[in-house]
Amino acid sequence: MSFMEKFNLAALAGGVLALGWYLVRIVPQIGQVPLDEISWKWPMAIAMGIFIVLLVISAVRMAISDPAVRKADGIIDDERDRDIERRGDAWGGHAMHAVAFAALVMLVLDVHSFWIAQTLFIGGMLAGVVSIGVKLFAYRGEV
Amino acid sequence: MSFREKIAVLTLIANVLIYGMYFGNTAKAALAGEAVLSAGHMISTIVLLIVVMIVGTIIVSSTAPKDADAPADERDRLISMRSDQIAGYVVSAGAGGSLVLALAGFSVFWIANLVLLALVAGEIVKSVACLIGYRQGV
Repeated sequence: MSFMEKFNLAALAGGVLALGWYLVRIVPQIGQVPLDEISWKWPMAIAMGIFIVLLVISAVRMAISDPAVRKADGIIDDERDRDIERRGDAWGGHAMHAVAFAALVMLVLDVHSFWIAQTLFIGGMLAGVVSIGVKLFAYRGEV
Repeated sequence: MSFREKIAVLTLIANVLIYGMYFGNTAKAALAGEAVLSAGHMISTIVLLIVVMIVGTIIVSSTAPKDADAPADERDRLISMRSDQIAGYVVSAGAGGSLVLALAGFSVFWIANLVLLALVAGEIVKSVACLIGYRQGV
């Protein structure tokens, strides 16, 4: 398993953990209290922080523990890795376009800011999952 | 110049001119203290861009119908993927910035315009990356 494949797996795990932690705190409040009273800003900021910290720890841990990485000239291994990275990022980019456009439509329709923030955050995380999913499938030769 | 390069040039010029006017007017309104989201202005700008792109694509296609119908080859796919990758980074950064504005309690005007700017910047960067890819390789 290459460095980038391991890094993508770690990013996926970190993203799922952070998003799960956030949803567990927010979803039970929806419908129970008015949207203005839902405390979502700090949990969202903390979830982003958790994701970034997990990502950095995973990258550092892998870079230290994997001798092949220390010997490698760069982080990205070869042409196949680069191709897979491009493909995954392109798909993730398409998903992010869709999320941003959905948020824009909601803004124009004057939807409550709570839902717009959720669309951008949860949609952004899911776009990341799409990107990583495409990469992991590509590493297994299934894309 | 290939059909795909011509479309990239068309996309670049249309986005820069049409959204340049939109953001110019929006900046003027904001500086005048009228930072209120005008859905009509935004929607009419998006519709204008779509119309210009459709008409432009028809004109470009009619000048070289064989080139327009030719399927994308490996190089085209690689350039397209690379351009989409870079555009994705730009849109993600802009969407992240919009989320930060929402967290900081900015008004809908600023959030909506930053989201739109991210989408437009993504298209412009994609077109430029596409043109560079065709000129210099990926």
